[in-house]
Amino acid sequence: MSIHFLIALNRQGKLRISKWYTSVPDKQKKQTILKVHRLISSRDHQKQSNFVNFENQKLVYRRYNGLFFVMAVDVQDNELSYLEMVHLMVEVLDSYFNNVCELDIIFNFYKVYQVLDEMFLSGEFQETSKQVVLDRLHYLDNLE
Amino acid sequence: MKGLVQFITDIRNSKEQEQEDRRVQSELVHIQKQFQQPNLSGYHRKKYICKLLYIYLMGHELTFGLSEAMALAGSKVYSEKSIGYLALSLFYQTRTEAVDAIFETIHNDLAHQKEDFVCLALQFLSSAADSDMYSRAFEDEVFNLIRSPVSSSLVRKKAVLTLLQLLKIDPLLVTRHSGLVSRVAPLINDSDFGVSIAAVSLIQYIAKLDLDLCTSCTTLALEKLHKIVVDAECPASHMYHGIPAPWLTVKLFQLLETLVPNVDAMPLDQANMHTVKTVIQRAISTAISQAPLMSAEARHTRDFVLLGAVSLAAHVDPSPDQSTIAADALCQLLQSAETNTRYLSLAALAKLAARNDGPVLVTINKHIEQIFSLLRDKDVSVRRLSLDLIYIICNSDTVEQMCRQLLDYLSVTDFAMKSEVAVKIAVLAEKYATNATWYVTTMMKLISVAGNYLDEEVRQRLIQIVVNNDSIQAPACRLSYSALKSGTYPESMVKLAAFLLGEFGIQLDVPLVQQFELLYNCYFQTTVMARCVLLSSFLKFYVHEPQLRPRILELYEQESNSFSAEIQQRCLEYAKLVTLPDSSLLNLVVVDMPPFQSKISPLVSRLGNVQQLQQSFQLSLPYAARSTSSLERPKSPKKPAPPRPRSRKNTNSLMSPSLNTAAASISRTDTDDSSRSMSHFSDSHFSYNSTANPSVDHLPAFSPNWKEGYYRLLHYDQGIFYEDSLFKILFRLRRNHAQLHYELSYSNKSPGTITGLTSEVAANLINTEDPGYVVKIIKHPESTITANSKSVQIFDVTVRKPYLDREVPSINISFVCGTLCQYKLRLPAVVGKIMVRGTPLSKESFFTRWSQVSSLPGGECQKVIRLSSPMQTVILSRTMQLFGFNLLKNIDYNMHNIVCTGILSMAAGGAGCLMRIETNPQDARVLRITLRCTVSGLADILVGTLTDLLDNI
Repeated sequence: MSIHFLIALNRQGKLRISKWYTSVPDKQKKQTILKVHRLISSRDHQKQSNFVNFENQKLVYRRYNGLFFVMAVDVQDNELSYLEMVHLMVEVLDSYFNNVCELDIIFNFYKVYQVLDEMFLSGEFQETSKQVVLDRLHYLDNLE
Repeated sequence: MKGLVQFITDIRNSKEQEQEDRRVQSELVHIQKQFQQPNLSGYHRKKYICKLLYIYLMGHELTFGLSEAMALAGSKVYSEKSIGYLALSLFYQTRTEAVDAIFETIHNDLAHQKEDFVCLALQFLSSAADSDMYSRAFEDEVFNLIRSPVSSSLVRKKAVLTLLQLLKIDPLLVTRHSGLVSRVAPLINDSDFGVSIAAVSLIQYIAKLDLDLCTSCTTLALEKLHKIVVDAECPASHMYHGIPAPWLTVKLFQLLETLVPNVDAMPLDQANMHTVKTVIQRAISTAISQAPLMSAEARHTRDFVLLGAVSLAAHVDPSPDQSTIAADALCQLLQSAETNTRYLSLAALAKLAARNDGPVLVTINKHIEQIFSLLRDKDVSVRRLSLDLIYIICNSDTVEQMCRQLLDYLSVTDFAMKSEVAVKIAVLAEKYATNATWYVTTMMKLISVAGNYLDEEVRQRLIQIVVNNDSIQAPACRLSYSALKSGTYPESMVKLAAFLLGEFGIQLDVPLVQQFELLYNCYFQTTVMARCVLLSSFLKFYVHEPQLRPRILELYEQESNSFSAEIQQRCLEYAKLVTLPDSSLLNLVVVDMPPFQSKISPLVSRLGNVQQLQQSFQLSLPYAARSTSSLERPKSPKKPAPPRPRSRKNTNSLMSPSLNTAAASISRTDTDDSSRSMSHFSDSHFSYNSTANPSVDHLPAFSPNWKEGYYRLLHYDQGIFYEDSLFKILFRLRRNHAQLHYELSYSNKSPGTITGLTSEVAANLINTEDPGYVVKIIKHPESTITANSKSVQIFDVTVRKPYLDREVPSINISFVCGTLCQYKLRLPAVVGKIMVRGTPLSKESFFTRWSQVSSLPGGECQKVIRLSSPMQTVILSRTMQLFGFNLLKNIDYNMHNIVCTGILSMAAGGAGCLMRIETNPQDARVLRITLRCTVSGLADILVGTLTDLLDNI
């Protein structure tokens, strides 16, 4: 009942963020990312659901403008709660970067990892309050 | 970091891949040069590492930078340390050369007074820890951070989740910290919701490893749920679009499902049951009654909480009223404009329906029009799910309506789903038909509409049923006759009609000649397969109607020259058969079709999802009887059908009485057979027992090469248990009094991935009432092992009392690696394995005890052994020591003899054991073992084990 990996890709399949919560060799990561992109970009985003089965796991994904945020979770898990978690994460990024866009994520990728580390650990939810996460991030920004 | 921004901008401005690669290469050279500078500032180091990280994210491999990343992680400046750890966690994975230095940095940071440094170290551990090296090095410190009263909530929640990561890589951790659960459980109820949700995740994981450890958590979880859901106690910071702590709520629901895996086997106490019901009811009613004017986020959140509640409701309380409320709530979601919600509520309804009866199905059936409309949904996965749901909720009251609607749907459905729909109609019609004529009519319609994409099995099954039921043979013939007559028909209708008319055409009021004409006209328009069926059918016409004989013979002779071997051979044989002077052989061949005896429709295997869904609930629920096998339930007198509300009206009218009894008698003989063979089996056991010769030749078949590992580990406690070209099993045993704690580690040696790995530890006990040992699985291995990685299986064998060596558990392993591989290995968990060294005894006390034990009946065993090869006394002593004995010096007058003691602490009582091995200096192949034990019968067993061991090393 946890997140296996979390990635952000743009429509061309360029990787923006990838965080793996299970230990996977680099080569396999690359292959997985390719497959995920192929699978998701082929789906109809108007008509189809945001869930799709993928190699004994389930992808929960959502597109924000040109960027896909994808989480791989257990098949038996509550998909919708992860989908909304993706949204919460985007809300946090939006507030943190003050109206986030893909460029913010590209230039501040190391800060995005910081955001992830405040929201998730070991593939589990760590903090589900936007306010608590943002307060922490602002505090960290003020450290030397 | 201007340089970083500039670099990223350059990369983004690159017009072509080549330009980008050049930019990356020049940057790499530059960075490498910079890294060689003696006094590089922290800021610059951070900047260059960031650039490296960006290059890594682009997909390039990095070959340097580890030591700089480590230097950054050791910095005193937060931003530098943070980048250092990030770099280590991202590309450190495959490098192990610097473990010691990194571990030292982590140790320092975990103990640092600055809380932010502690957090960074925890975050690093939680994403980088991937072997038990980490758990052993850091578990104490991380656990202390959870325990310490001075830890802030921030540190505590991170420490809890870090410990979860350590536990994931090393499940044994749980056994090393007995106070873990009692420390973490109260955190479920922590006032900080971050700490709470972290604790819930950790407890859920432990509960999956060992449920017994966590039973106390049920009440705690319920308390927290009650606070959130019923009392609405939630800090403003954790409200999400007006809903209190939705993720924590859902996590708590899931935790409860894990803590109460089976309500029937382990019921909740009354107070807890009451709380569960209150919470679920409140969660559902709140979700339903919310204002319609809500943001999309609020709607999603409401829905996922609702789905979590419904899932829990179906899990802990399958009572009709609870489930009906849940079903009603879910049906309302079916109208949602959002694909996600429709998809999920259908999936949840299918789950609910698969494990419920009566009222729930009635509730769902009220929304049947809505469900049917979803068959035309824009999303194919929604269409599939609604088809599954329709299949599950169908019963004998609704079957006619459902089949009619599905038949209508069949003509508009997209190609990919046609076969699925057709199979489901066929199975439903057979399963719930109350009227045989209706069944035949429906099936004929099905074949007319969908014949071209229908699986052969559908037609075959229809034929089986028609053959077995006299009453529908005539209508079936009439329907197939008029179908052919109408002029438009799929080929399977030709095959069907050919069989039916050939077999039962006489029952039809149409002359056989006319029937033949109709079929004959089809002959030249059909494929080879259909022609074959037609040719066989004509043979029956030949017998029944003399008028047709010349024409049929003419066709056979003509087709004897066919290009198709199938047709040619048939025609040759048939022509020969009918022209034989004696017609007795012909009449023997064309005898009436005997009733079919297959009890299970071949279609069942085609049901896919639905079948899995239904079967997945069979084990844990009393409704198990309502399985798909009720398709054709034999009315066996041995198993009176339990009252099943859903299939009350399913009177099996399709099966003629004669067949029913036939089926029943078959099933009876089946059982008789199995019981007979069982008794044979146990007989052979007893006879084997009496010979008391533990020779392995009589054991069940094990995989080749099992012996090497078995005998190695009969005296060693760790080593290679099994190895071949595909995979390797390492073995580690810890002896803990009566408990043998096993850790088997499966390594994939093949270049591919091992999937579907299962490993079952099967006890082979003779006496299962009062077993000699009990096996308890702690962790199953992962089902997938990628190349060069491994997975661990952990289990305990607790020895209760003496048992024979051939009763030891076997391990049945199967996996797919190219092909399916199966192994059966023998686990060396003999009773002697729990032996620990006895106390050293003086010569006097040894002999006092030696003589005391001799008076016990069955306390002594003496045996002369002739080994196949000579064995030196030193090696013999060493082997006995490894086995667990304590060697005593200067007891025996003969220095070549070995005297030793051992203690076996079995759960049902301990046993002391004294042994003397006499060797023969002239012939190192001959030994005499005398073993005395304080528990009767044990000496025989131990001598058996030792003989077996000495013979095979």
